[in-house]
Amino acid sequence: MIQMQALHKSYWRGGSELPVIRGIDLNISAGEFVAIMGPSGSGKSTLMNIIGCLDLADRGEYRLNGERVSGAPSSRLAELRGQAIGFIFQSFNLIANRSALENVALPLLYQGIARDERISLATQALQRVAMLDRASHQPNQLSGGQQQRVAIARALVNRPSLLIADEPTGALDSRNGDQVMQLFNELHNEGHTLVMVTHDPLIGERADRVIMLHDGMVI
Amino acid sequence: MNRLRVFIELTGEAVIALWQNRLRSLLSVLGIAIGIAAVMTVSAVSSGGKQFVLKELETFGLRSLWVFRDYKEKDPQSRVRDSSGIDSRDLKLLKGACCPAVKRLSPVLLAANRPIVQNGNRYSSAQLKGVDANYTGINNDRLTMGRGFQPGDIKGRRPVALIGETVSQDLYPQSENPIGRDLRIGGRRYQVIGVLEYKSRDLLASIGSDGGEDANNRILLPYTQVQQMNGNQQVSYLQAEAVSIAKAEQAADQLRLALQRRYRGSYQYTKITLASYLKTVDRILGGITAMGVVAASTALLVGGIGVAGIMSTAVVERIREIGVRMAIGANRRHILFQFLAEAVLISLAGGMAGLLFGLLLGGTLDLLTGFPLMPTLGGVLTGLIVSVLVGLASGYYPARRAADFLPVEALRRE
Ligand SMILES: Nc1ncnc2c1ncn2[C@@H]1O[C@H](COP(=O)(O)OP(=O)(O)OP(=O)(O)O)[C@@H](O)[C@H]1O
Ligand SMILES: [Mg+2]
Repeated sequence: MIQMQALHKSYWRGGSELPVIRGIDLNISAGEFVAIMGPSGSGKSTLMNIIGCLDLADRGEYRLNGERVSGAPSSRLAELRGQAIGFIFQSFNLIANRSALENVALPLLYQGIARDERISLATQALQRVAMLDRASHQPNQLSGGQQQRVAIARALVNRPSLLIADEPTGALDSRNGDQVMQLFNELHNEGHTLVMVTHDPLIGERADRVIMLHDGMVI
Repeated sequence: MNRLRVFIELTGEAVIALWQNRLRSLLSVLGIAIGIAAVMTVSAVSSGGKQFVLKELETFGLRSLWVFRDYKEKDPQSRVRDSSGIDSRDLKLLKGACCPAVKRLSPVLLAANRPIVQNGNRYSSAQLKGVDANYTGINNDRLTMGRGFQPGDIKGRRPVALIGETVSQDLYPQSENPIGRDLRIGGRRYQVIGVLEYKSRDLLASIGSDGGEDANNRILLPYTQVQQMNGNQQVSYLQAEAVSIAKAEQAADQLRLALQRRYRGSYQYTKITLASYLKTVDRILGGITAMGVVAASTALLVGGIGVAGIMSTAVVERIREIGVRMAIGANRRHILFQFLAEAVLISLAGGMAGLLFGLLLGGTLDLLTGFPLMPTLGGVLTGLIVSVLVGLASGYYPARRAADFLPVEALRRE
């Protein structure tokens, strides 16, 4: 599903180059649960953003489901984000002042899906994460764990082939974190492909595979 | 179809965003509304004002022209200095082939003395004019009662009169029908055969442009009668109607030349055409309108800048939301469209509020001044189109900025 070869990415700060991804080769197959670990600043988020088509690498090749992402126009990247990928953030990133249901339904809007169908699909997704009883709540009326479950429903609503999560439990206490992890386990068991950044070695143990990053390289 | 639906739904997203910031949205709507109302009022006032002036000028007949002797020019042969230079025996010639641009003409004679006009012990200060049967048609005079002059009245020098509203009120009690009644002018008896319709020249009179004539305090007599009073064959001046407004100057010149030729240059003649007044009115009102529109457009510009400012603020505040929308599948055109839609909706709402405000203002002024200030359908459409354009112009830069963010950059912002 994911094929990466010799991927490089640098940031430029004050005219000097700061290499962040320094030649990564990576293959992830459909149905895998891969944990990405490594010290702070090792480039985990940068790699995830590239996988999630939110950012582009400078050099090297990235293929998603066989399609070259590296040279794709921005409109195609938007399509991939909307159809093939579900991104889950550490800080939930729900849109304020909009209900849980509206947040979950929003990705479908950009696919041109009619309102009735949007609501029915979003309702199913909320049910899947056991948040249907909070459908009309706004983000600030939900706990962190609840917000993250809504965000997971939003990532699931388009039935993407790939779920990626950057420290999804990083902002949660251990009880809420456990609940969210339980959900990810279930999703994996249902056959979803899952790539997750985590600092928690216990989570790493549950994954099919752990990829250790250090200074922008896989070790 | 699906693509179209996305943009329709994004318009809904824009409405929600505007509603969530309703106070702010309202303020920028107000800015545009003031601008549109100002532009609209200025153009309505100028077109209403023009119609108003035109209505008063119509009371002279829009194709009217006047030809009279130019007394400033020296009489080169020092003959009959005090003659008017026009004689009733010239009329036959002037009505003939010399002047094809003239549709019809009438001599006008003013009484040399000011005879007393009375009916028993009621008196009138009316001005007397001797004319022929063409005159009322040329001068756009209508009758409220009775009949106008027939050629027989003129040729037969019948003692008949047409009187204005004021004359009728001065000489006859309100309960009486003046038609068929008598009046005395310098001791002679005349019979009233018609009453002239009321004419408003208030605006022209207020700026001294009515020629010193009170249109409602006139008595028209067959010119042959006035010639008899004056004791000669002279005609004070000619009033004629050109075949069209465009031919008015030409018609006047044809009459002047015919007269100069007839008197072998003994007199010089001058002319006035209503067409030239129309041109002047157009020029003056055009200038006033242009200035007003510039001033009002400045108000609209300020409103547009307000919208641009609000949209820029909105983009900065919602940059993270923009990142999230991109992360879940929005492309650049979607983001651009949503913010442009917000700007256009604001200024379209402002445009509609401005039009409504302008209509109310116009209606009020209309009641107060009697000016017809209703804007045309074209004016309303123009106002709406202009407000959409203002929205596009002021929303484009902020929307473009929002759309140009890379998803990661937008998500990183706090
Ligand atoms: N926009 C940016 N501009 C410049 N440098 C950046 C930018 N984003 C990240 N970096 C740098 O790139 C390196 C990798 O950052 P990244 O966020 O990928 O690390 P991470 O492994 O996710 O760390 P953490 O575990 O703290 O989240 C860091 O040194 C960071 O300072
Ligand atoms: Mg990180």
